[in-house]
Amino acid sequence: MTTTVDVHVATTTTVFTKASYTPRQVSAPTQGMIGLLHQQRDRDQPRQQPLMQSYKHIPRPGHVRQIVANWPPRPTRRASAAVVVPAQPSQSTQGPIYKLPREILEAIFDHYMVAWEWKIHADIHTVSPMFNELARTLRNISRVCKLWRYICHDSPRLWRNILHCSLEVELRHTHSYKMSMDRCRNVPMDMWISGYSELVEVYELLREKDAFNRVRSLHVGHAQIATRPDKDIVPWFIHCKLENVKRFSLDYADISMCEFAEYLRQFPKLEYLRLLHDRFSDYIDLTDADAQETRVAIPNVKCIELIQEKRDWISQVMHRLVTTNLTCMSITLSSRKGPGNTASITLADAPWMCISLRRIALGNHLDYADIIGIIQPLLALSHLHLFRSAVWGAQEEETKQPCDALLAMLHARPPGAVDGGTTLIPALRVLSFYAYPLSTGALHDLVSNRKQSHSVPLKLVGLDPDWVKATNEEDLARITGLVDVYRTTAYHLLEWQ
Amino acid sequence: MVTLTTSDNETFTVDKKVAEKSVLIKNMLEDVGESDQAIPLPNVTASVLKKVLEWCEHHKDDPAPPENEDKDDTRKRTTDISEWDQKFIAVDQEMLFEIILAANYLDIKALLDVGCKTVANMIKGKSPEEIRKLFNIVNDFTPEEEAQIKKENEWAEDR
Repeated sequence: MTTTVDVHVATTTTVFTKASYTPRQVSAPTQGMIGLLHQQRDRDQPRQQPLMQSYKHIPRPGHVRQIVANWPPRPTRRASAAVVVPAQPSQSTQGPIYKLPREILEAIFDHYMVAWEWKIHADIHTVSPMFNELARTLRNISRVCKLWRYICHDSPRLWRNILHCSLEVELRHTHSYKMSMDRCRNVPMDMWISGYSELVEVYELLREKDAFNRVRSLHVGHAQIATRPDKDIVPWFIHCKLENVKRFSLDYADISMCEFAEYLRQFPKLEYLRLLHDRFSDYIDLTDADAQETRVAIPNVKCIELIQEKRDWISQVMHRLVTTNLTCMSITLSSRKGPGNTASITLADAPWMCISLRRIALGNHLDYADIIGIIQPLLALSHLHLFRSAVWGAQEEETKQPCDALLAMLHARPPGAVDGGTTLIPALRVLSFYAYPLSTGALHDLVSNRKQSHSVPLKLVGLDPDWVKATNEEDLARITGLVDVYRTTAYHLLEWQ
Repeated sequence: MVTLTTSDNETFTVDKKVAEKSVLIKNMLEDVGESDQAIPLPNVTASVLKKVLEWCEHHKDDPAPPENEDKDDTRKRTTDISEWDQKFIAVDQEMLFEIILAANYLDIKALLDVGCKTVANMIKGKSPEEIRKLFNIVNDFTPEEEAQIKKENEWAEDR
């Protein structure tokens, strides 16, 4: 049977008002120019529109049901079905939430939704519970009352996150991608697709709806996509001009940088790029010796996030894509013990002037030479605001040396500077470490001592969430008193995005 | 200083910087220029305006949000609320919704966000019945409609 659950609300011109809420006439002393201007603004088109339009133009506190009634319901797929009018509860049974107009309820639901908002960098095991929670949330909201159900189903913003994934067992609570694409109407879509057949299905639906330009962000995960000419499988997004895609993420593409640089021309508005390869990826013939000089001008790219195993590939990305507009960069080695970690990765690999770089995050860089090589070019960056280093699974002694190097180099005063002078990187405000455990001993002393010697405000983030849970209150209070606990999120701090 | 008159005819005199956290008031002040006249706020009562001004006073030095911010871009949004805002907004439901309405009317986006986040957090993790009870919302579904909705969603019910 049908799974369509749209609810229609009848349109009515009745406006419910209550005497005590009728806007008051302004008193005599205020009937001057300001008062007239104020009333004029209420009547006419105001220069600055209020945040929620219907509230502005309907006598306060316009009962939310009447406000909805003033919104002609948009056509739905069950336009010919019976019209359902939400019942009018008696005054004595109404809670104060009934005062809120539709747009504010929508905004509330939207906040509720983004609590588990789609994260383009998450893998399927992380994103699955988020989508399940999101689906459960929307389902619960839509079952509170007819009005909430109507708002929920009639608010395209609430359906913009679209997932199509082959792992149905893990995603049993998630809404159907077809239903979400219907309900989000013309709102830009954030799409998370995993699996090759799923990619093809989504392509067919987008083509049928002529909706390629509605894709705002696209994550293609675990598709084992082969884009090389001698292979049959070519993903559709390579052939489609996705004019409005701002964020693009791709996992495990057996793809050369030369080809990839060409494909990225399909994303003229691209701002964020994330590429994941790891030790399981196919690295055959990645060097593109004939196209070493190929560069792709995508001037809007501001953030690049690379999760990689091979230094060569990272270097090629930098060579071809990085422009002076880059403000955020993340380089994560897929394993701290992997072969990629034996080679030094330096920003100097890329012949670019990262003059706009504001945030840099390193993951799984343990090698002391790596750290030095990365830090040195940064010392000239006048805009660098955040520096983050995360090492997963490392023990305290392993992280001490690179952390020490980071702190020493980032906050060494310029030669000849007097006491209290600026650091070499004047804009630096957040220095973030994720290391286990930042509890006692050498690393703790290092961090607390360094903090005391800083001449600029500095956030030190370093508490491991598991350690926080396990430690006793006394120790926790002592450590948190010394360290500005900014957040204990494992890696993707909000400030990074 | 700026003088504001509420719907119940109380007047508040506040620092211009505080009052201008409201885009509505800011625009009105820009339009009329220097003036001693009180600005009437016929949609806000004194008790609500007092709370709103308390928030504006605390946040008067906060940086203004960028004008070209993408309204659809919610990546940076969360349901996190600062500690001070949490204490500020710990009021009864009547006042909470009045603050939200006032923030909307006065065009104070950050305060509106705090209010919406607070309500969102109140809803978080609750069943439909718990939400109804919390906000005193009438369940106006007929038993037949409820059965139909349940049937439509049974594929996704918790097992």
